[in-house]
Amino acid sequence: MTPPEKEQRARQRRLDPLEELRASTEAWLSQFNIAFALMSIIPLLICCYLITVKFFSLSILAGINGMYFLFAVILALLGLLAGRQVIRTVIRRLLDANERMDRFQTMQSEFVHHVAHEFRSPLAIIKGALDNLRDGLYGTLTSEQVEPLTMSNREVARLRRVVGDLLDIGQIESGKLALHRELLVLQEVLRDVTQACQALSTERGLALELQAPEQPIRVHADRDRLSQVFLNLVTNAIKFTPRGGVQVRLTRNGAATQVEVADSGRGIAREDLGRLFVKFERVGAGDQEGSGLGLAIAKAIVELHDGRIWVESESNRGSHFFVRLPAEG
Amino acid sequence: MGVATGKTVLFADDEESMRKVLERRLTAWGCRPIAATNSLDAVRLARERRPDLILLDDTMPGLTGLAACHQLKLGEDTRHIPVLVLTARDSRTLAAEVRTAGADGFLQKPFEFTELLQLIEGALAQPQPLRS
Repeated sequence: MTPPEKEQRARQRRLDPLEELRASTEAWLSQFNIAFALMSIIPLLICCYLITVKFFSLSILAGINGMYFLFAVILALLGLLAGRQVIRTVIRRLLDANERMDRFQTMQSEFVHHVAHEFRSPLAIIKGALDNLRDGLYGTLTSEQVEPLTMSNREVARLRRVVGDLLDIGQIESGKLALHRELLVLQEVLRDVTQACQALSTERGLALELQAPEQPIRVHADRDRLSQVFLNLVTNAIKFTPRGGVQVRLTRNGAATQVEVADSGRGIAREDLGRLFVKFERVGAGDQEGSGLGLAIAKAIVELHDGRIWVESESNRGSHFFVRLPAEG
Repeated sequence: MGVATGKTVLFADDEESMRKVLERRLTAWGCRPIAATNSLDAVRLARERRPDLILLDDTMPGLTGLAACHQLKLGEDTRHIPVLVLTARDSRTLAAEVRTAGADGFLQKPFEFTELLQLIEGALAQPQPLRS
């Protein structure tokens, strides 16, 4: 494991609320032990004093009703012991329940991971066979045969994306999404992304524009993962914009760099904004295809880069998605 | 006529359908395909037939594709043959394992045939370690 990966794992561990709870409980329990020892020492000393020095002095015993006092001290000690035991048991049970939940979540992510992998091999066969058909390896196709073939190819591509998204979300939830960071020029990443989306925007009759300063803006980031985020934002913008255009704007403000993806689409209702980055929530998707995972994945990737992603939008007034990342140099 | 034309390509996959798909495609590219149903079969056929290139599925029962690749790269009579690994696993975490096993490249399933052809041509064009 390389040092940045180690650092990332360590950060994830620190951020894990369960780990935090477990650590703070352990610390609390040890403090409780010290407090308990301190609290018990005074009655114990009194007991020892009474037993060893004063026990046989009947005048003292009769005077302060020594037997009752001794009884009370023993009861208090037993009460403290029992209380401590109850608290310990309750905390241990809570921790166990949390651990079981944790294990269940890991199992769930592993299951998703396994299932997604199991999908890839049959998908490879279907795709291979369809491509062989399309390329005429089993004979020339009639024009009537081409249409269902194109349809099947499109659906295979869709399945491929869903499997990819499921694997990503599985990795994110199990804390296994590792970044391969390098020094990148953001202009290059955004240029590649807008170029990749050009065909889709032309097909939909939209203008796709990139506005970026000439001075290169550098970030220390994972090229593939960052491209994935911007690709998701731009394709979403195109899909949800019936007319007009999509602008990608890159700006730098001191130590932070900001990418804005703005569209003139139908916008997002105020009450839906909160659900937008939640997995499987397909806000206003209507007939648009998608796994409902893209924005949840984008958010996780941006946050792993110590960045922030948010949206400003109103119904029928377009949407503006922002990604802010720490800039280098 | 591409670099791959006329080359003997040994490929191993435990799925019969995948073998059929690959065989058809390799033939269309002008290669001479040899099919193996598992890794051990692939290692044996590689020693007997000395192909120009080997394609291994990573997840086969018994010996994995990567382990087979490692064996081939250790064998004096097979180490010069370029090996490409096809995998259903996550390619980003696999890169290091592939390098350790000595494979000359890998591709994640499902893939585009254009990507595979590029990889094959690239591997065939690379100078390979001499037979000792």
